[in-house]
Amino acid sequence: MQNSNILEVESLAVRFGESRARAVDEISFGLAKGETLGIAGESGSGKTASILSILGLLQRATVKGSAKFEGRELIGADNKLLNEIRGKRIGLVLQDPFAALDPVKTVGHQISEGLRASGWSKKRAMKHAIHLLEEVGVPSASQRVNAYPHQFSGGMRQRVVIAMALAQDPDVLIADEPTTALDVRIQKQVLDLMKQQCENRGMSLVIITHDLGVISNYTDRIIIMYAGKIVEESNRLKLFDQPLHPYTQGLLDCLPNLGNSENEYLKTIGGQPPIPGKLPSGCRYHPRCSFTEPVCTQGDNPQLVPVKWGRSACIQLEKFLRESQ
Amino acid sequence: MAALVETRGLTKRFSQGFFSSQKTTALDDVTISIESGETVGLVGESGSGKSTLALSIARLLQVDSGQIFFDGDDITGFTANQMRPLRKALQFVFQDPYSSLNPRMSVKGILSEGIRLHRGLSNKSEIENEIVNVLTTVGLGKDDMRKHPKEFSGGQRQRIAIARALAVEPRFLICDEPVSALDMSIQAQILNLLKMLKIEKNISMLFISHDLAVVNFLCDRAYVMNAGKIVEQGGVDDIFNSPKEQYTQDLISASLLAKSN
Repeated sequence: MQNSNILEVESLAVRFGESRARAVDEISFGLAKGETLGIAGESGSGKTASILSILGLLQRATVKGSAKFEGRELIGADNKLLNEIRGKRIGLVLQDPFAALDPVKTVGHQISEGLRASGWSKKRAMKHAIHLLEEVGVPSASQRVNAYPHQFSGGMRQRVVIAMALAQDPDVLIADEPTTALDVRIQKQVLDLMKQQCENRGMSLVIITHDLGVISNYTDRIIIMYAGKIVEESNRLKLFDQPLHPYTQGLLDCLPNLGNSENEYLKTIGGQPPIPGKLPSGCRYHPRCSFTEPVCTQGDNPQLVPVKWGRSACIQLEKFLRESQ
Repeated sequence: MAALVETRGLTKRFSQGFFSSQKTTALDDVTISIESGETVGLVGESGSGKSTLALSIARLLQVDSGQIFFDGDDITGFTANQMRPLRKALQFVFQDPYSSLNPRMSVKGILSEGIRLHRGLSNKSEIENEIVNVLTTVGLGKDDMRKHPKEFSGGQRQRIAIARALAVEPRFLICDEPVSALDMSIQAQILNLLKMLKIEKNISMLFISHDLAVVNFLCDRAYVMNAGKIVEQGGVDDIFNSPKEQYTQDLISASLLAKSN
């Protein structure tokens, strides 16, 4: 199982600038071929930093640990190796389609740029760009390929960005909050498109999001991050039925649903996520947790403990599992 | 009973681009009403005209035609001077608490401005008492008074923005996507705060959101907007259980992502 993983991350840690605080603190996870993985957490939990650091895209950060793509180490790798992998083997879709595209180049130019850099002729690359635009559902692609980003709506721009990421037929597609900047109806279309493309191409998909609704419908395996640590790993059927960490439970309780009655309040998680550098002792979630026991407040952050379908970093996991039986 | 806020046939068109003579219709014959004590949701996608409607009601934007009534008065043509007493009655909470608070003012400064201008208090200790009261209501403390916005997290900033609105004892509160810039665990805190204001302070609210579950949680009634028009209206239960318009159904099925498991 371990060996079949296309991406294997081990004890990855990220520090920014001179600060000693770790935005990502020794996280480990694997990504199998063709698998869909969701990484969820609140802002500052380290979900984006972990992915960007793997791709060598964090300029002013110190990255430690290991991230192997098909056995090749990416952390500390030179640009030659990274350029072979970025774009070609791992495609990236960023949150804001308004910022991800160059406003003064046609979308066809931008989609075909990577292909031409790999030695394709201009004509062939453009033809492929049209084909890609068709595939991601941009209507009248052969004309639109010559249009500029401002002539597209937000949803259509995100389709262009996805076409760019797919251009070189990568093995892994990483999408960082791909739908946060889009309207709800468009969100569904874009997510459906990515999921379908992954199935067609046998591609692995990683979706980074703060929206539990997104991952519940589009990813098989789910990682929940809190304050730079993975607190839970689960699958989409189990996450909602039997959350393994009080933080996950808290997040689920926060979501308003259509069954709320008129004078009912939401359950909330009190307080705020900790600031890097001012982490509490023991479990990083204990000051906000409603199940905190003295044992939670001491020592280091608890290690992830495997269960049948995932992992949890709650020190009281066994007790909760026993009670839920 | 007369409505507290009412619009009749509001229309607003924006020029599309600097050189173009084309116009976008942001509001197209919009008629809504909000009773005293009622919390009304306004739902739609970006570009549907929700924020234009909110700004028009608050007279922060001039409409092309139609009328706006507040407490029975036609305020459509009110001058800035005439609007001043209404500014006390009608307050606004914006989406982004990072840009809606003046970074150079302390929390005390932000909150005391409205209290001095609209409630005529000038005694320092009286003003300070009021500030502490309103901070307590929104879940902040006396110690926060001397801090500046940069010292607060997003959720706390939104609490300050809500406190600023409450400080002048408004009758009507317009909240334009007040939780969409916030993290999940913080969203729930702010939603509970707004619900508390609704239940305990009996403030009327126009609550703008693209998230139907949030509107359902907070509102009694809702309007659904699409392309500048009100396409559907009714009690939240009716709209969510038996939506008439395809557009509303689409919105519901999209926002139910989390629930479909």
